Amino acid sequence: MTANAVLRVDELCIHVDGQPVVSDLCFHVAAGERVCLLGPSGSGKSLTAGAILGLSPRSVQVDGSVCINGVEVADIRATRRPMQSRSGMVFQDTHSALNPLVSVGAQLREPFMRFHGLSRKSAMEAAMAMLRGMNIERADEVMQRSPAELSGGQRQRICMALALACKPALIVADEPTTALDVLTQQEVLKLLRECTGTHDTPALLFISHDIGAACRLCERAVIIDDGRLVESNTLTHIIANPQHHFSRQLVRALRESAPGMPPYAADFDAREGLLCTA
Amino acid sequence: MHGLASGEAPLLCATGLYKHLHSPSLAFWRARTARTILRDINLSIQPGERIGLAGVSGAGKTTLLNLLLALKGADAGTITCQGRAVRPASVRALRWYRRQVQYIPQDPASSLDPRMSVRDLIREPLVRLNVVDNHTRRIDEALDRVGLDQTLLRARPAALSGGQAQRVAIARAVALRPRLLLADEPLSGLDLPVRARVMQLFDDMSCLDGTAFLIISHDLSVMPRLCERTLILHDGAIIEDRPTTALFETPKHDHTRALVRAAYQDHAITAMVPAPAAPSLYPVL
Repeated sequence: MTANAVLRVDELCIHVDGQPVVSDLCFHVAAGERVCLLGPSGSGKSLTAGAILGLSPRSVQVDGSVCINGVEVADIRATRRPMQSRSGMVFQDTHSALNPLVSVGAQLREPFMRFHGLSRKSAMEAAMAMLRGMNIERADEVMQRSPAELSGGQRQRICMALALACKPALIVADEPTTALDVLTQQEVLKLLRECTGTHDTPALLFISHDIGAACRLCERAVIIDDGRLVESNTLTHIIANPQHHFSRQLVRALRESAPGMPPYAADFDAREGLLCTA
Repeated sequence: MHGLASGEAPLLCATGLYKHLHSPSLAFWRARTARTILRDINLSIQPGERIGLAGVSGAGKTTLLNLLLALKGADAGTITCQGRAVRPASVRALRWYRRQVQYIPQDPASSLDPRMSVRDLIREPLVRLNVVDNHTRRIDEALDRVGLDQTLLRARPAALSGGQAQRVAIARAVALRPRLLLADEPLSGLDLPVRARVMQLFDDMSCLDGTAFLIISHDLSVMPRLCERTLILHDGAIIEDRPTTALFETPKHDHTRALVRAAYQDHAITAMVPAPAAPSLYPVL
């Protein structure tokens, strides 16, 4: 199981201006697995994501080992990493993830031309197919637009398409649903679930503070608090029996997510909560 | 339609609001195209009533909020507060309205002036709106209501946690003793104990002082606890306006049904995994 780990983080320590923020973090993501990194704000989730992706700013000092597809990449910046150790990324802020001056189509055909060596025309067609796969209506019209003209949900789906277009072995999604409304959140989670986590699709590291979304997407969770790993288990296990103070708080929040709500509406099937089980 | 039954004049009444958005004539793409953001919004709020306004992003929640706060004018329709017409005007001309209707922003961390202390932040609206009363007493009272410590009075917003900043923003509104509070996502980003405290505060204010609330959220799951009545805004129109429980039990519109389902989702997950037998696992925080 651990032999085919796509991502292996070992004794990761992160210092910001000399202050330790993350210490001795160890976890792995196996091929085709979906793992969630949960933690309160300020616990070092995004710094960990930055270290994994090679996007840490210069003021951040990263020690320890980050191994993607067997390549040690902790000291290599994102743009200098060898091809097989590059991972896809999806962020919360879609405005800054996309180039505001270039149309969606031109941005989306880029990976097809660069990584898969397609001609401009067939890259455009592949990009279009990709957008349709992301449930975007009127894909040809969306391709002409600039990112600022689209809704947040559409932009997030385009970011996911971009991440998937390179066919990476791993996708790191840092709070991809936080800025979206409930219905769009559902849709983005559903797409992420469909596009990741099988043997021929990328593995997923989902970083969030929303345990509800994590349950609907991932099988396993790694919970950190104050830069230290406090719990690592399957989500079913954590919900049934949370150990650490912070995980208890999370599960409590989940159980009391809707105070005063009437019992399930007549036609509501509880299974639609979709707890992913390993 | 709701309010007038009680015979009392509604606190706030909006009739036939329309708002169109025109892209600027100089925009080189799609010049002068118009889009209707709000269509035929009718809404009346009684004293002490708590109303939820839910809708997905792009439904027009913020535009409606801007109209109700008299920050922008409607293209058609009127808003009246206790029988008196409200329309965007100078700060001076709207003082009476600002004393009645206050706003709690969604993101307090960015809406509080970083250079001002908590005391000045809470005092500012009292001074600007010419409230004739003992300001220090009002500030102390407001702090007490939101459960903040007196020692925080000298702190600057940067030193506050998210929950504290949210409560300072609430205290700023509460200090004016408004008749209506418009709250934009008041519970998002708060942890459970602070959430419970804010909900309790809203309960007290509406029961004891008769303050009315309009609570705006994209997530229906906060509504049953907070609001007796919920409006669903979809594509610029109010598609449902019913008591919250009725809305949850028999959603009429497909869009409402989707929102109700989404609200149940998190809860459904825990229903699938039973809680451990020992209740002591969940200490009361």
